[in-house]
Amino acid sequence: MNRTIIQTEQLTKRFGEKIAVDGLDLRVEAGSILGFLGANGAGKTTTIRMLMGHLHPTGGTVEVLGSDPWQQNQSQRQKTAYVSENMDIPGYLTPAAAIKLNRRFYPDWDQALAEKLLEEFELRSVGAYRSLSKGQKRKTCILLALCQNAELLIMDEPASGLDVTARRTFIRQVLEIACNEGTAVFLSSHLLSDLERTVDRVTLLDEGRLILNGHLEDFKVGIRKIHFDVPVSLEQIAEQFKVIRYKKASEVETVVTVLDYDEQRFDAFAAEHSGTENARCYPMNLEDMFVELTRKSEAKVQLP
Amino acid sequence: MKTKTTRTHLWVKVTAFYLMLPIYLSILLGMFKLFGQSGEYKTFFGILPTVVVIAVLLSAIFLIRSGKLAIPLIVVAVFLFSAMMIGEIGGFKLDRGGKTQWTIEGDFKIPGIDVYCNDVHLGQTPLIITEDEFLAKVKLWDTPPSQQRTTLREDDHNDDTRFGWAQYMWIPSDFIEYTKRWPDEEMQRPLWGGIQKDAEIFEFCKKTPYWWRFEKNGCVGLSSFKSLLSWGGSGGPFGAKLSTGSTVKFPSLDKHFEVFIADLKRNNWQPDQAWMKHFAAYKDMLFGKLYQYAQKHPQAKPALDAVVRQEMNIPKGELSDGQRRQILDDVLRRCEEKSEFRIPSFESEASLLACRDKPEMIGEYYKKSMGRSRGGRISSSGSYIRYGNPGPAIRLPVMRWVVNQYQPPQLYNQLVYSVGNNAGMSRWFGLTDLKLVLNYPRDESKKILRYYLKTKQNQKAGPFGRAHDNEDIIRWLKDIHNSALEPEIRRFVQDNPGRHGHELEQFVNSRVKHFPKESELPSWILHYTQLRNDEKARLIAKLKTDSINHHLSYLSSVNPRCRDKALEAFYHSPNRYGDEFIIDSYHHYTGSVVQRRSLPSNFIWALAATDTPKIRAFISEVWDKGGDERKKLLEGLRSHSWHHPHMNWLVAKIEQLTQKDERIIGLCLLPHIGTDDAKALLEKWANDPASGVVKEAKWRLEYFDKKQKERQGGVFTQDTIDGLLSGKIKPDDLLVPATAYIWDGEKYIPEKK
Amino acid sequence: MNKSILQIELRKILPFYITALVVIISYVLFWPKPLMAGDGIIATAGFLQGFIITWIVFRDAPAVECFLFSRGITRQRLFWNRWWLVAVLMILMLIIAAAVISAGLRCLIFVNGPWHPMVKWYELNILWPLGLASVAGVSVRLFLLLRDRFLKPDKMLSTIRRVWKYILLVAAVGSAVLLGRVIPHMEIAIDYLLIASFYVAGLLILSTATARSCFLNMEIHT
Repeated sequence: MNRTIIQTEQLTKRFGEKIAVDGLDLRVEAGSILGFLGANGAGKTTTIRMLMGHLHPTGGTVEVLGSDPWQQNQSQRQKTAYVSENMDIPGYLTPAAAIKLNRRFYPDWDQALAEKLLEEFELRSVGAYRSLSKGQKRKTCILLALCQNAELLIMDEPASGLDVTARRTFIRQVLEIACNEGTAVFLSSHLLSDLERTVDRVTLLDEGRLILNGHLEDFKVGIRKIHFDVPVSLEQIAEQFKVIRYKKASEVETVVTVLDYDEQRFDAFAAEHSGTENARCYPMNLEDMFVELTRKSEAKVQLP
Repeated sequence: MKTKTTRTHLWVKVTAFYLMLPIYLSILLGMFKLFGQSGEYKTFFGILPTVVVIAVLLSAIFLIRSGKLAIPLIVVAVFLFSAMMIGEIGGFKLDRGGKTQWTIEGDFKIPGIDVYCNDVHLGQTPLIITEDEFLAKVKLWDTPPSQQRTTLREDDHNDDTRFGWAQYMWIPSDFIEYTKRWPDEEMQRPLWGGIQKDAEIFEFCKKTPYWWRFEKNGCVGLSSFKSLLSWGGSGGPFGAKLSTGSTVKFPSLDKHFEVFIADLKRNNWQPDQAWMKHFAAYKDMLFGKLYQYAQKHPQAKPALDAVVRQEMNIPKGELSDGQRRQILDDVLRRCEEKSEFRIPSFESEASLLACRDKPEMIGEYYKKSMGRSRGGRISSSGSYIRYGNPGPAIRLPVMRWVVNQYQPPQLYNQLVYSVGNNAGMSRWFGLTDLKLVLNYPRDESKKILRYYLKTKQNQKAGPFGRAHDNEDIIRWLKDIHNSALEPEIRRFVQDNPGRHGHELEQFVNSRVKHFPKESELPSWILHYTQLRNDEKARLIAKLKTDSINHHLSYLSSVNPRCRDKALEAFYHSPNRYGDEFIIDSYHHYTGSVVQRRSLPSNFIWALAATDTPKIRAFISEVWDKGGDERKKLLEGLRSHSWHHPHMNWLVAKIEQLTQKDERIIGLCLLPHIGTDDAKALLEKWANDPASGVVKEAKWRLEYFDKKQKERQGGVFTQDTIDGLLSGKIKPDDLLVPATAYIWDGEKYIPEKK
Repeated sequence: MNKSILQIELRKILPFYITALVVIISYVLFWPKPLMAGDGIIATAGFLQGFIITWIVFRDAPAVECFLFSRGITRQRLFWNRWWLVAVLMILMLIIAAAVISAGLRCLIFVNGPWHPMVKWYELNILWPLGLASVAGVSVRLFLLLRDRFLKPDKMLSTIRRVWKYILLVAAVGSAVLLGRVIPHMEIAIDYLLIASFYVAGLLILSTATARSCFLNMEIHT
C-alpha cells in the first residue's frame, strides 16, 4: 500500500447556516492522480482550501502529508504545490522573474523543467504578469507549480483559459509527475475530457457530500445506462444493482442508470424478468457519468 | 483548532483593552480629579462622575467580552464629551445661598494676627468667616470703645494717624460699600489740627458700630479709619476680601527690631538660644527687617543664616545632596500650601542655601517643577509671586527665581529650547523662560533678543491675546538684567517709548535698581528729563561728571511722574554725585518748565542730609530770597521726617521769620533739628504771646519732647533687652504711650490721668 | 526565501516609504524652531507613516495573498519577515533623522537664525516622539488590520462601516485632550515620555502577539 498523502475523516465546513462540505472521507495515496469533481458550489474549492490550510474545518479532520495543514512546518509546506484559478502572482513580475522569485521557496526546484516550460508555454519574452492574457497568467502559475518537484500537487481549475496546445503540455507534465511513485496529484477541473485522460481516481461531490469515490476504470466498467423496452420497477432493478437514476421514459420504456453493472448479474436479472433480456446497455464516459450523477431531476435516486 | 482560535480571540480582547487603556485612565483620572474638586457640591457633582466611572468600567467589561472596539469607542466618545462638559460645569460653584465670605489678611499676609471685632475673638489671619457666622458671634456696641491714637508718619499729604480700634463700615447685606474718604479740606490743615478734626471723624464713624482690633504676640496693630474693602478678585462673585493691607501696622516693630539688633551686637553678632527663641516667636514680623538689615550690615548675615536654618530645619555645615533636596522639597511644599512665594522669605533664603555651589540641583528641580506647573492666575511684583489657587503651579516660578540668582550654565540649553514652542499654554511659560535665557551672560542672548523684539513688533496679536504695543514690550524688558544686552534694550526703549509713562517708569526703576553704576544712571536721568534746550545747556554746563557728559544725547519727553521717579533714585546717595548735582536738581524742580507744586521728599532728604558749606550757603541763599521760593523750601523741609542736628544753624534763620504762617512752618522744623537751640526757640515762642504762635509752639514742644524720648530710648539697657527676649517686656512696652481718648457720649476726648 | 519575500514587500512599500522619509526628514532638517520632545507635528507624521507602512506591508490583494500563503513558507515566517521589515524601516527612519541632527546640518542651514548654534544633542529629543508615535502607529494598524481579517472574512466592507471606525478612532485620539489635563503640556514631556514608552512597548508586544496569532489563524478566502 502506498503512502497516504491526503486523508480526511468526516471533514465538514459550515459558513453560517450553509454546509459547504459535509462529512467528507477522502484518501489519496502517493502515485495517484485524483480527479476531484463536482458541480458549481459542490464544495470542491472549499475542500481544497481546507487541504491547503486556508480554511479551518468546522468538523472532522484533515491530514496532508501526514500532518494538519495548519501545523505544517516549512519543509512540509515546500512539498505541496498549489495552483488555483483565483491565484495571481505580484503583477510587476515577468514569468522569468517569477521563476527566480519562486524557486527560492523550494530547494528541490527543477530549473531545467522551468526553462523548458518557459519555452513551451512561450513565456520567455513576455512582459509583466499584469499585462499578460488570462491564458498566459494560467500558464505562468502552472509552470511555477510544476517545477517545484512537490510531493503533492493540488490544482483547482488550472487549465481554464489554456489553449489546446498548452493543455496538452500541461496534461503531459502532470502525467510525468504522477509517474513518480512518491507524488500525488489532486486535480479539480470542469474539463472532464482532460481529466479522463489524466486521472486514475475520481471523487465526486454533490452539495458538499461525497457521492462517488474510486478508480475511474472501475466506474467506467460499473456505470451503465440501461434502456428497457418493458416496464421495470425501481424495486425490481434495485434488487440487483445500485440504481443512480430511474426514469419511465414512456409507458413501456424505462431508463435506468446503475453504478455496479455486471454482466452476470444482469443475465440473472433478465432471466427473472421477462422482456428485459433485450435491454440495451450503454457505457458512459466521465462526462456522462458526471452529468448522470449530478444532474438534478426527479429521476435521480438518492444513493445509499 | 478550536482552541487556537479561542486563544486568538483572547489575545484580541486583551490587546483591545490595553489599546484603550489611556482613554479609560484619562477619563477615570479626570473624573476623580473633578470629584475631588467638587468639594461641598459632592452631592450634585459626585453622582454624575460616579455614573460616568461605572459606565466606563462597564464598557471596559463589554469590550473584554466582545473583543470589538466599535461600541466601546462610541461609549468612550460620548463620555469624553460628557466629561469635558462636566469639567466646565464643575468648576463653577452653583451654591448661591448668599453666604458671603470674608477673608481677612494682615499686611504682607502675616499669619497668626488675632482678629477681634467688638471684643469678640474671631480667629487668626488668614481668617475666613461667613457673614452669617459673623453676625451670630458679634454683638453691637452701644458705646464706642476707648481709643488709643498714634501718629506714625507725618507728611504733607497723608495724615497717618492710627487707632487701636478701627472702625470699618460693614452693612450686612449682599453689597459692600466703600467708606468715604476724608474730606479734601483736611489736607489743607496743619498736621496737629486739633481735636475738632478727630471729633468730626469719630462722629462720622459713629454710624457704624463694628470696631476691629488686631493683635499679634502682644503687639497691637494700629489701623486707620480708612477701610478699603476689595470686591471680587479671588473671592469671586460670592466672596469678598476685607484686606487690612497697609491699614494695620505694628508701631513697636522698629523698636522691637532695634532691641534685637542690640542683643546681637552684645553677643558679637552671634545669636544665642534666647535670641533664637524670641525670634521664632516673632519671625513673621521680624524676618523682613532682619533681611534688609543684613543686606546693609554683613555682620548680621550669620544671624540671618541661623534663623533661616532654624525655621527650615536646615542642619549646619556642608549639606549633602539628600539634604539639599529635602530643603527644596520643603520650600516648594510651603509655597504650595501658601500659594505664594515671597522675596525675601524663609523659603527664598532656604532655596538659595540649598542650591549654593550645586547648580545641578537647580536644573533638577527646575525640570521637575516644569512637570508640575500648569499656569493659572498669577500676580507678582518684585517681591512676591502669588497664585489664585493653591497647588503645584507655583513651583516653577520659585525655581525660575532661583535660576535667576545663580544662572547655572548647564540649564541654559534646557531653557533655550523650552522657549521655542509658542503654541497654546506654553506661550506663557515660553516668555517667562525667555527672560531667564536672556539674563544669561552669553553671546546668543543678543541674537535671541533681536529676534524677539523684531517678532513682537511685527505681530498684530501678541501673546496676551490683543494687539501688541510697545508698553507690553517695555514692561517685559524691565526684567532683563543682562549688561551685555543693555545697549540694545535701551536703544529699543529710546526709539519706542510708548504712549504711557507707567511702563517706562517701571523700566527706569528697574534700571536704577539693577544697574546702580554712576556711568549709567545719569544717562537715564537725562533721558527722562523734560528740559528745554537752554535748560539743557545750563545743566550740561553745571554738571561736571564725565559720564553724564557722555550720555547727554538721551533727552526725550515723557510724563513728569516718570521723569521724577527717575530723578529720585539719585537722592538715595546724595554725596555720590556732589553738591552741584543737588543744587542743580533744586533748580530743575523749581524751574518754570517743571512747575512742581512741592519738592520731592527724596530730594529734600538729600538736601537736608548733605552738610557741606556749599549746601548751607545754597539753603541760606534760597531762604534769604523769601517769598514763594522760601515757602516752598520750608514746606519741603517741614514735610520730611528727619533728624539732623547739623542744621542747628537754621534755628537762627527760623527765629528771624516774621510771617505767622512761615513761623508755623518753621516751628515744624525745630523738633527735627532736635538741638537745645531749637528747643529754646520753641519754649520762647510758647511763652511769648507776641510770637503769635503760642498754641502751635506748645504742641511742637510736646512733640519735641516725645521725639527726644524716642531717640534716647534707642539706647537700650541690659534689663530691657533681657526682659524683651524673655517675654517679660512686650514690644509695645517699648513705645512711648500714645494718647488715650475716651468717648464722652458725644465725642472723643483725651483721657485724663 | 527571505529575499523573495523582501523583494515582494519592498516593491510594495518603497514608493510610500521614500515619500514619508523625505517629508519627515525635511521637517527635521528645515523646521526653523528648535526641535523638542513634545513635537506634535512629528508625532502625528510618525504615527501616520507607521500606520500606513504597516497597512501596505501586511495587506495583499486577494489573489496575491492566495499565491503567497500557498508558497513553501510558514505563516509564522512570513509574518516575522514582514514585521521585521516594518521594524527596520522605522529604525532606519530614526537613524536617518538622528544622523541629520547629529551631523549638525541644521546648524549649517540656520546659521543666521536666532537659535543658532542649535544644540544638536538636545534636538535629538525629537527622536522620542517620532519613535514612539511610529511604534504606536505600527501597533495600532497591526492590531486592527489583522484582527479584522481574523474576525471577518475579507469581504468588502461598506464605506460607511469603514469610515465610522476611523471616526471613532479619531475620537479615541481626542482623549489626549483629557489626558493633557492630567499630564502637563507637551513641551516638558520628557519625563512623561518614559511612561509613554512603557505603554507603547506593551502595546507593541501585545499587538504583535495578537497580530501573529491572527495571522496564523486567519482564513484565506480566495
